[in-house]
Amino acid sequence: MYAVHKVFCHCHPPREPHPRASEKSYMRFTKADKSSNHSSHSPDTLRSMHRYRIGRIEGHWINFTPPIQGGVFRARHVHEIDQGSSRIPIDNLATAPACTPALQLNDKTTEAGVKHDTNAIPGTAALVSPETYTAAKVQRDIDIALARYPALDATTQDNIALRFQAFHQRVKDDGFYTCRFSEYGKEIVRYAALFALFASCLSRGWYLISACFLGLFWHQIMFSAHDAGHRGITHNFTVDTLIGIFIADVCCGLSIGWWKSSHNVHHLVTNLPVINPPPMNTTPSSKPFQLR
Amino acid sequence: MGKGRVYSRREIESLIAAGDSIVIKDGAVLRLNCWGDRHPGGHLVIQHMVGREATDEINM
Repeated sequence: MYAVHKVFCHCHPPREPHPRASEKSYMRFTKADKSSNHSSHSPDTLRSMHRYRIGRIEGHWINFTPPIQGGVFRARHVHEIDQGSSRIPIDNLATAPACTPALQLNDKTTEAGVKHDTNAIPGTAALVSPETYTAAKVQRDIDIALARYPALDATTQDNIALRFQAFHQRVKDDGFYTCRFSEYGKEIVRYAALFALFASCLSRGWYLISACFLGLFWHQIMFSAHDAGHRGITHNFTVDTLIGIFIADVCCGLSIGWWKSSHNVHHLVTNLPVINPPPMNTTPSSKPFQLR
Repeated sequence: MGKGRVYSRREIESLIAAGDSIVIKDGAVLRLNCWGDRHPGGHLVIQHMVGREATDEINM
């Protein structure tokens, strides 16, 4: 569950408490004190943000569109009269221009490389280029999303934010952030069984079969390393780091520090293509774009 | 003046135009210029919250 641009993305809580509470998409790795067991930012981190405060606002804040998303901001010296020529786009998908404008699909002008796709626009047989088809499809998806999801006015969004905060509090109160150590007992039984099978097969000279069990053992213990990387086992930075280093670095030869550096960003806003990196197991040099 | 100073919308707009990474949290104006590259979650997520109310995103 997460809020993106104040749109509440509704996710049903699990029917049963999940032993790997750290796999929730809003869990992230930050330095934490011993009492911190929830939220992406520990209480210490939240308090430290005061250092960056330069002032305050009054009243209700209407979001700008950030520069990285194309927002335009007037410098101090720009006179107010120029407001009409450089109007700030208020963050509102309903009024913001689409990434690609909707094109007229009735234009039957043929172009070189035009693809005839009778399935592109239902009910029409217009000749459209791939770009035209893509633009129309994107616009249609935007229209569907605007019709499906809540309105973007401040009152509706504020109400969603309040409901989200209440829901988040309920998640905390119901103990979903608290790790149930007994579940790790079951995990350890499975790990021990796989390792025992590996050792037994190895002692009998069944090398290929023993290799399979060793691979399964390595594969399974990495789930616990994942939990440790998310500070999800003891919720203590130092302890979970040591657990993660032992499992990942020592037992499996994979740097937990390297993994966290990309995985933290992945869980920040999961599956948002604009920001989300390849979730795991890619070398930094193979990433298609820089994220940090 | 200081951390209690009230910033108008126009002032915050001009700060962002000058290149500052301004984020609003719990009514406070945060200037995160130096923090962007140190943020464990990456600098991109901060850039996507410049000029926006980020209370829920930070507290979540």
